[in-house]
Amino acid sequence: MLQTSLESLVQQILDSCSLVSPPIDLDAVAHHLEVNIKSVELEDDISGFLVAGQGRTAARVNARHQATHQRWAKAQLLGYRALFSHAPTEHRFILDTNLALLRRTDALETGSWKAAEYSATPVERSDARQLALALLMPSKLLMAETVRHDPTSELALAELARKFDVSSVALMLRLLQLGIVQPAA
Amino acid sequence: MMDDHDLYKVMGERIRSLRKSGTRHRPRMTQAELAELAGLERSALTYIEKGQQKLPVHSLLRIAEVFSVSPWDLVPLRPSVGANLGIGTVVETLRRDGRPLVAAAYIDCVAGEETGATNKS
Repeated sequence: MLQTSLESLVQQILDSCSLVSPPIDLDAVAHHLEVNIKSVELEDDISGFLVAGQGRTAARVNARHQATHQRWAKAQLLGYRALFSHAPTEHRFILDTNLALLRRTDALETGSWKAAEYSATPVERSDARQLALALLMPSKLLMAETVRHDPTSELALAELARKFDVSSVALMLRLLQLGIVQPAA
Repeated sequence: MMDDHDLYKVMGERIRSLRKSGTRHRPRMTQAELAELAGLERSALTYIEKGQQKLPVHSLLRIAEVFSVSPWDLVPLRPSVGANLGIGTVVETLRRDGRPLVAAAYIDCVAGEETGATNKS
C-alpha cells in the first residue's frame, strides 16, 4: 500500500478513537477495530498471532517479552487487521515468529516466504509493519513534538521514545521515514 | 496444491465477489466498468470470473490495484493453514511443531469466536 494511503488510514483510525496525544492507546484502537487482544504466555520465539474469521478478530502477544516489544507486536497485529477492508469471513491465522523492525538487506522477504507457513504474505507483512510505525508515531503528532524536542539530540530522542512509548530503534526508523532526520554525513 | 482449474475458479470467484460487494471506499461495479479499468474486454472478464479463462499476471495486478487490495488477496495460496486445513489441523500442526502454548491460546481465540465474545482487551 502507498505510504500516503497508510498515513491516511491511520489518521482515520485515530480520529475515530479521538486519540490526539502520545502515547497512542492501542487498547482503544483494538476496541475500535473490534479486535480482542491480550497478552498471554507463548513460546519464546513467538511475538504474537492473529486469528480472523466470521467477522471476528482476536490477537495475542507474548507476555514473556519486554513491554516495548509487546507494544510493537500489538501495533503490528492491529496493522494486519486495519489492512483488511472489513473483518474477513474466511478463517485466517497469522503467526509471526519475527515481528521485527529490521531485516537484513541481503534477506529478500519474497525468498523466505513459503506458502506452507502460517505467516502473512510479504506484502501484508511490509504493509502491517509500516502501519504499525505510523500508528505508534502518527506523523502529525511526531512532527509537532520534534518542533519542541530537537531530534538530533540524543537526550531529546530518549524523551521522544519515552513519550510515544516506543523503542529508540522504532523512533529512529520513523524519523527517517518521515524525512525529519537524515544520517549525518 | 490445487489444480489449475480450481485455481482460476477461486480467483474468478474472488474478483466477482470484490466487484459485487463494494466497500465504504469503493462502489459496486459492473463487469463492463471493471473490465475497462483493468484493460480487459468485458467478455474476457466474464470468462475470468467463471474461471474459464486464465488470468494474465498484468491483469491480476491491475485488478488488485482497482480494488486496492494486495494481488495475494486474489490468489488462493494464502499461507494461512486455517484457511485450507481447518481449525483442528492448525492445532495439530502447532502441537507437532512444538508450540503447545500457541495452540492453547489459538483454541482460546477460536472458542471466543464461537461463543460470540467481543473485544474486551
